[in-house]
Amino acid sequence: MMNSVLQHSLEHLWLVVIAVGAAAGAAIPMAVWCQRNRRMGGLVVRLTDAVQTVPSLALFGLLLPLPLLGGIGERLAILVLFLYALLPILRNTLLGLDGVGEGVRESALALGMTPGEILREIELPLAAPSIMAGLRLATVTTIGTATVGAAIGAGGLGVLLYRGLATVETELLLAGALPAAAMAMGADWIFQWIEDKLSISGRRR
Amino acid sequence: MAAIALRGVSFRRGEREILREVDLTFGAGTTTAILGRSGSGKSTLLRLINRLLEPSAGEVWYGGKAVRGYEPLALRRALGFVPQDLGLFPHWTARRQIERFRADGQSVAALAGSLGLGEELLDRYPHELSGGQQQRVAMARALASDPPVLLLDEPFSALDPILRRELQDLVLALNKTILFVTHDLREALRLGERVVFLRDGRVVFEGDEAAMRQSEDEEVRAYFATLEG
Repeated sequence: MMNSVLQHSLEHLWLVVIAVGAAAGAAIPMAVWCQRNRRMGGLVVRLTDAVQTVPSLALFGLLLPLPLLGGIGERLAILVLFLYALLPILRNTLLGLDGVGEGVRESALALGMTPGEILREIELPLAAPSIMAGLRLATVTTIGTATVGAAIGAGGLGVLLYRGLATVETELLLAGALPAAAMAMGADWIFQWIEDKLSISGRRR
Repeated sequence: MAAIALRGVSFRRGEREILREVDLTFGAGTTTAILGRSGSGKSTLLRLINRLLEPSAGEVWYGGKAVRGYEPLALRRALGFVPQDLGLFPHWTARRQIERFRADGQSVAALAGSLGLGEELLDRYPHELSGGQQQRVAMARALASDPPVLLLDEPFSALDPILRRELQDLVLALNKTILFVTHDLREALRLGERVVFLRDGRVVFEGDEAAMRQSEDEEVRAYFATLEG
């Protein structure tokens, strides 16, 4: 029993880390692009927003027939979790970038900094607390949503939950639910710690 | 020798014409005050020189070459700029704001010291500094690359009169070509060997104090009236 809980927890963690990692890798550059291309950017944000409104099981159903990425298993689960994690990261990064004052941007330009330098040295560090808040939200919700992955054979703690529900075994249910809850709380705590660190190092406004 | 020249420069934003066919020359090593009321185009004029804005017509020259022909980054390193809101980077200490733009090996402390910023202030973040200290950091940062030209956009407007005078004295002691935007005649006359007066995007007057006192322009006279009483 302990072994299977551990194995499913690791599977679960794997799904979350890959999905949120990929979402961060996509959403942060997307936010930078949206910030610079207001009109098209608004469209992208609304599209990401729309994905969020589709229920997870329905999204599995919709993407199942997709070639390469679709089909039963881990890959599809990661794709769905990735799509869900995009919005909180995109929105919060955008919020953080918008919070950088125009005067700050202008003086950086006037000092001869290149757009790339301004992004790396000024904009992203100033947006960091907001980006971290987005990552935190994405991670915690993805830990919850990932339980549904079991429905399409992606493994994870959802396997124990579904089995427990089917057999009405409280012990099995708890074996799935408790590690998931602990994982979410642990992630929340870690991100809180990082956010505190960031604000202590002077990145306040 | 003219350091900076504007030839038939206009700038429009949408329907609004902010500068209209401005012709001006600024000699190397001179200090010019650009005076005018809010919306007269003073700040726009400065930003056309360091190419934060591009003119809709006409040409801006720096050092005998059209600014369009410069690589913007090289141009900006030669033109120190202090905007009204200073634009300090909130996540950098005073030292880092200056050091980042200082040539290798040049002392930060010496430059900061010459502007009245003690060593003990350099490790503070902008929000830990007073208004006057922030002004000094912004000045030091603009001077970090040792630019021949300094463009100042009402940098002292938020300061109390005593601090203001101190910072004016620092500007007077600099050996640079300085363009100084202000809406305060007293400041313009104190700092500028020459005053350029703008209204609705046009140059209404340019000359020294004596010439300005002779001006028939009603608004120029109204400005002088503010000195009396």
